Amino acid sequence: MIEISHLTKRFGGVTAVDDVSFTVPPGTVTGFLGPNGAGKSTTMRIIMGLERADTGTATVLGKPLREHPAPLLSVGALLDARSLNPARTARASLRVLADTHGLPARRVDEVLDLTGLTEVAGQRAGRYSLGMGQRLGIAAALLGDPRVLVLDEPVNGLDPEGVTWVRQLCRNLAADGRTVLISSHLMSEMAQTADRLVVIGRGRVLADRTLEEFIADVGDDHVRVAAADPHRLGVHLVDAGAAVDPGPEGSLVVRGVDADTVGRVALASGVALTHLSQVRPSLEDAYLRLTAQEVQYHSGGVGEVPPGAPGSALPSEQPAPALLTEPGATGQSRPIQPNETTPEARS
Amino acid sequence: MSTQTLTSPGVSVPRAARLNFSGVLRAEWRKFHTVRSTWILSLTAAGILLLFAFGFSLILGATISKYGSEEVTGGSVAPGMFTNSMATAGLTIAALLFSAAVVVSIAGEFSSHSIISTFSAVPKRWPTYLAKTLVTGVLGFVAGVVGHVVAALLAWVGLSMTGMDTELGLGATTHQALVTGLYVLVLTWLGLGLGALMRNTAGAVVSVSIFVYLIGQVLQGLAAGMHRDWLTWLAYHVPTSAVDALRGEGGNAMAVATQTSMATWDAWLTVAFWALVPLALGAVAYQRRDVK
Repeated sequence: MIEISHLTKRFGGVTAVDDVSFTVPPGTVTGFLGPNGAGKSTTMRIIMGLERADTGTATVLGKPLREHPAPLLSVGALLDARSLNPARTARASLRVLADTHGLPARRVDEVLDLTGLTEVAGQRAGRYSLGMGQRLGIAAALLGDPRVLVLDEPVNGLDPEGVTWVRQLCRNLAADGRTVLISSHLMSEMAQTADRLVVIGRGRVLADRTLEEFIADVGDDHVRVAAADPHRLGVHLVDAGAAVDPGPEGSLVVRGVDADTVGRVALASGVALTHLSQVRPSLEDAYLRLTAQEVQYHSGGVGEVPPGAPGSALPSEQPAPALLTEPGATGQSRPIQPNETTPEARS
Repeated sequence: MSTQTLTSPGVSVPRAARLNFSGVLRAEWRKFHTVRSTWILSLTAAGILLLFAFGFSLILGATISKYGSEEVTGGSVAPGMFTNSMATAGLTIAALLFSAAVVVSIAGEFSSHSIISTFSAVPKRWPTYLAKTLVTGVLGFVAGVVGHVVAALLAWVGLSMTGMDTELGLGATTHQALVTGLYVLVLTWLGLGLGALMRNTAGAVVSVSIFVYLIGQVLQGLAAGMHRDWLTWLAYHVPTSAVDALRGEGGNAMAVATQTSMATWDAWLTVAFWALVPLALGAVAYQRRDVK
């Protein structure tokens, strides 16, 4: 288990981590999400003792990492794709780590085999591709067969086979009762890997709940409908209690009722439908909605900007949800706000 | 490249395994000798020490053969004086190169980010710094002593080849070899401390070079020109001059041949200052500063 309690870290005048509290329970994969600069890596580095918190504590299995008699057996971490010396061979780098705890050389061979690096173990790590470097970092993290894994962007640069392997590895480790904290910007991957999510933005915890709860609470679940007379259908849907917005190509975006209700309203009002679908939100949709106001570094001018995000030409269909944390878990919790629609959005 | 689907089949991690200092020492030794730069710099250092000893002894031997011993030395020669002087001809450069290898070993960990895996395995940090200090210190001292003895032997061979009948002087050579070992040790720990403070290989190597080479020579030049006592005092209290003061007769590092007049206690204090103060400052930075 990892316990983060009221962690704050400032760099000069910038608060990178601001009174962050959350718990990563054993037996689960906890996804750690947030925009660039949100404070994910800083939090992970504080867990690993690489940076000191200004206030607050980070403990692993009940105590700070430095107090563990065998840190490699307690926590394995991948915090940087190039965290092993490029001038040393992969095998020598792992032997160095193994030496500190008196681990046998065959354990080094095991993790090399596990990560598929046996054939290139004699090469210097500096000659590795990004993906091979990631595999080596994962091998180092697994060396002590630890109870807790902290992985920062472990699938960056991995080929599809490697991505699948990391996913399976994390699932297997969690199934074995271990604690896994993993950060990634690949939402589709996280959706398949994580049981729980901790979302952080501008150094503050924005959400801390299960994957399903997160999508249900934050995601924009709605119905898309196209009809021969959309105006008349819209009026009847509003009468039935739905919130209706114009959608693309003359369609309507309907919130507050499900597709069955929309179909019944259309039948009762005698409007022919040409399209009807329930749009289920993805993790990516939910994540973008939650963090739309928390992004520090924006890309410019290519493709869509998330509605409601600074720089977006479109008004937000719904306000970004407020903090979604377990009441009492962090000391900064607020009530959960389910899919609310603003009065302005109702037509 | 394919990976196994199971997490850890046949795991061979003894659950009783613990982080221990002997393991950290072993790890630091493995770190030091498994990078190419260590071998390149160390072998270059050894080559320069031995080549300078042999080459300068041939030149000295030829000069003495031509003009006579008394003309060259201005008096009687103590046993081992020629061989030991020649043995230290390339010492400053050689020690600097070994110090650079030590700088690379610690500053390179920070620049390559491999310090992350080091501190993940040893989060208390200080055991790895202490292990680095011991491993590099012992290696530096032993390399200095052995290098001096071999260089003195080569110098004796060189002098003999020019027809000079000179003595090695066992006692003098032993003393000079120990002082050479001390000199390499001082520069090793100076490099380790500055490497930990700066976390930058180039910056630390240049700083060591300035302390070893430049400052001494600049201060000596200024002291000679300006006749200021405090400048003379400063010129004596740089690493090379202080170690040379411990050599007694016939052993100054030729590259910076200084005529020092330090008391032995003063020389030891100065040597301790240059070896231990940067090392201690580096330890504080190593222990306390965040890793980026």
